[in-house]
Amino acid sequence: MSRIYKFLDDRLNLSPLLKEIADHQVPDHANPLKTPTALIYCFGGICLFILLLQILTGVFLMLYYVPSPDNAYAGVNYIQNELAFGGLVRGIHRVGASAAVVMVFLHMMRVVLTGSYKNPRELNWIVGIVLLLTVMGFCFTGYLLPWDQKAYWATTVGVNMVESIPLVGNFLAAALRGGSEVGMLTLVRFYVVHVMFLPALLVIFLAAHFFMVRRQGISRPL
Amino acid sequence: MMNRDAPSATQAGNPGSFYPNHLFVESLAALAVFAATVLAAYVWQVPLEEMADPGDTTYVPRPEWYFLFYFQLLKYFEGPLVVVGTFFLPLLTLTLLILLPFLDTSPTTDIRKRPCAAALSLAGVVAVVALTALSVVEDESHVDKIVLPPITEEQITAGREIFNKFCMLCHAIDGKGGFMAPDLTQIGSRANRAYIERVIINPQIVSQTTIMSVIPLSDAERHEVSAFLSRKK
Amino acid sequence: MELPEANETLSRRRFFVNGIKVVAGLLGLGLGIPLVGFFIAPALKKEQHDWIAIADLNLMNAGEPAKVTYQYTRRDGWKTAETRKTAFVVKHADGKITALTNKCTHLGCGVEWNASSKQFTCPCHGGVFDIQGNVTAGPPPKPLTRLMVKVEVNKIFIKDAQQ
Repeated sequence: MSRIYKFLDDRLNLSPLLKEIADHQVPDHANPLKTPTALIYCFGGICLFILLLQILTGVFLMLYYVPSPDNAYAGVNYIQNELAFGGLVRGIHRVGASAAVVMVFLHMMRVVLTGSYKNPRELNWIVGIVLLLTVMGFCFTGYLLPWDQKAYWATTVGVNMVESIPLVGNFLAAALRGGSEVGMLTLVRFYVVHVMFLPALLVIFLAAHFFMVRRQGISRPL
Repeated sequence: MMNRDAPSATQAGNPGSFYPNHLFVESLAALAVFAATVLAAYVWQVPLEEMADPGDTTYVPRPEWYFLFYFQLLKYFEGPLVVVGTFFLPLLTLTLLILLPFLDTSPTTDIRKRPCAAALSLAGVVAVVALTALSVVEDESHVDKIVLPPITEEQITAGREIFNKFCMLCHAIDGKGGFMAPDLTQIGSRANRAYIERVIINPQIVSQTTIMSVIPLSDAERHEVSAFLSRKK
Repeated sequence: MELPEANETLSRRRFFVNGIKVVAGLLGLGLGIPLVGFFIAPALKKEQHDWIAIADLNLMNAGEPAKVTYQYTRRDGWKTAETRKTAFVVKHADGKITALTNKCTHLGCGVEWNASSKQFTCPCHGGVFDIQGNVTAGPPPKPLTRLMVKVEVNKIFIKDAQQ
């Protein structure tokens, strides 16, 4: 291991990079080893872990998922009932979605509690809001993908809510569905949003989130 | 103004260093979350319901639990007020959230010295929790909620007998029975089991003018009939 | 017996580094086993093959391979797929029946029977097989694959599985 690292370090000069990422001090008030209540400062890290878990299980679920009405249901049924570890992988992805919502919410509560959104961290707070919306977008689009009764009708209701927006509601809802009813086009676009658009958004804003945390440091109580 | 923590190689290994000390704590937290997730995936088995049936408009959908609070909130906005719940309220919440750092500008971070921010966020949390709880309670008492036991051969046999006794006066099946009501020989390919159940409970959902009467069946008997009929394909 | 402070810091550091490694290992196993198992699961499923009637024994001439195309349904994930394949059924001089796939063992091109030279030849890279399927010239590393064969009431059946 260390020889491989040395080989790479000699050629790419990785050490300063790693130092920048990992070699810094965690202030006492945010360090659970010094202050047990500082565990609330771990919520953000847990969010990152869950999102990585979701990406990993999600990529594997894509192996057996075909986004068309017949195949989507049959594929999820195949995953659930015929494949080794299928129920477990799907179960982790689904429970992981709930866990992500809970942890993102708790992380946000921690930031509110410690007033960490204040000057100079306003921008990072807004990036955090975008990330919250992204996670909710994942939940909403992912709910349709199994194409069972619950998926279909919950999405129908969800998209119908958009219709009530004045002036542009009907058009927006049709654009979301790809037509006047939830159907094949809806499934494909929800799938593409779920596995391409939102992950891209997630990666970009997560990078910004972490960059700002490292630039600005962890907030101190004032 | 920036209180950036100066990185220093000499401090690595101090209780305050990110690597390895703090990362170890974070990794333990990650492991705990992973174990809990796997356990929950086992305990809370993911249900796959019947395949989507765009024609079955009697299905009552429920969102995932974390959207329940919003689902419940929407019940309170009727008629012209619907758009308040579906659009203006979420928009207002989002705007408030984004503007929070620019509204709460006092330099202090102590929650006890920020009564406005504290009260607002507490109210938000209480509202979400209360609405979720309310939704769960109302759902429990919802008449439309039907939990179907898995189909067994015994159920199908029992269902056939009940059908012969009560339904065959009007409905025909496999060439036998009455002609006052639709032939149900292939009903299983047109309607799913949940829909059959709902029609038995409330025949009017098929048509306001139906002459079909409500047959006094117990829940178990109704499940048997629906099991029998849903297999007639 | 007091350790110097620098040493103590170092041993603490080693404890945390090892701790991270253990946790990473546990997470790797806990996730790796299900995910790898999930990935390879279809490969571990046994495919079911049925006997397919393909030729009439009475119509076969000894020493003259009959080219047959057979069709069978295969489970393809959650669907069933119709698959068509070609084989040569051979009645040997001693009355024995063999069935060879037409797939060249070199790179999988379709071999053809050459009636004048009494050999199977591959059009791609010049592989040559005799009537038993054994390689007589060219690059193929193995004889042609023999399928399972049985004869019942003068009907020849094959199974799409290696003998």
